Amino acid sequence: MNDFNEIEKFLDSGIKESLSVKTRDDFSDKVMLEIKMIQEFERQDKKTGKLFNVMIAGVFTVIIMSGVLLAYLLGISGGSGESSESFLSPVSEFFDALGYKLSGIFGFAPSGEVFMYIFLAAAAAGVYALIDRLVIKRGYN
Amino acid sequence: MTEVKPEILERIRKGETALFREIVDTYRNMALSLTMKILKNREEAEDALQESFIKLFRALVSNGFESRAKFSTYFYTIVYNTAVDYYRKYYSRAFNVTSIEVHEAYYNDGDELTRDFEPMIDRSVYGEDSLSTEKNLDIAEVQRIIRGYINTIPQQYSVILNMFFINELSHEEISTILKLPLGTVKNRIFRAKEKLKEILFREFNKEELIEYIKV
Repeated sequence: MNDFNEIEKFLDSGIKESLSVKTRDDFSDKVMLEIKMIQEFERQDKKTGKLFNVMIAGVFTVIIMSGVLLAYLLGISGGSGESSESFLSPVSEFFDALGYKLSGIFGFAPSGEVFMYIFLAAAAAGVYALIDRLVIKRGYN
Repeated sequence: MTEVKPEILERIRKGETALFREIVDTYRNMALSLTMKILKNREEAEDALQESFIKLFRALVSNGFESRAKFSTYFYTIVYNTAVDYYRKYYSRAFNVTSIEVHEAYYNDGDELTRDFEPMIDRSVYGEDSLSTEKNLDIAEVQRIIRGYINTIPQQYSVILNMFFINELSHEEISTILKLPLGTVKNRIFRAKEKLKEILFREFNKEELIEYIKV
């Protein structure tokens, strides 16, 4: 090998040696630990995600079932059924009275049935908010 | 050239996370060298490197890495970009690998390579003359000079040298990662080596040095 190549080789190895550095001994352990933690978080997120989906499905099922049930009960009530009348009449009377009072203030009176639907929707929103606060958000924290 | 086998990558993707340690162990020192050249601080360089490995892991498990691509190029691109992001965050300015700032009125081409190195040379030992033929060759001193030179050259050179000599990337790969013309990459490696050669031949007897190298 000629002098030129010998010098080039020497310089290359000198440069390599000068550029080299080493990580701390526990570097790989740290990286692997962080990866383990990331995976654990992801697993927890998946679990919470599943629970969230179940809760959402549950809440909507409750809302739909309540709507169906209320419609059924109101239907019976409207058909002057004696048994349902005894169950719904105090509520219905309360909303009728409320409607009457509102008509004096605003000049129009929604029927008790409309109030019932509004009440139902508000109750469903309240239940959802409660579940959201107690279960879903706690699951993410 | 250090390359990870595709089957290892595939097994990691399928859930054998422990195998990722092989990649970390293989690349950690070589990659740290690169982040150190950019950040100049061990703590920050190791933090940037750790984040690079996490990014790589996420990319592997989410199929972000295409097996057609060359692994080392892909990995060092992540390392470089992460270190540059850290640099921007810590120093509140962009990392500039493209242009070399020149302020001196009597600037000669290549002067920037030794701007910070020359003051390190102890003239009481070496004298002001260009050749010190009287001086016996001390290999520890030769190595000290090489190390001093490499550690003081501008980052525009040291990053490229690191990618070439330590990360074992080709000129083309370096050019792609740094978004620099191929000619610039080749030229900087050449100039850095030529300047080092010039310094060594100025500080030591050329024949003596060549004799030592041959042995």
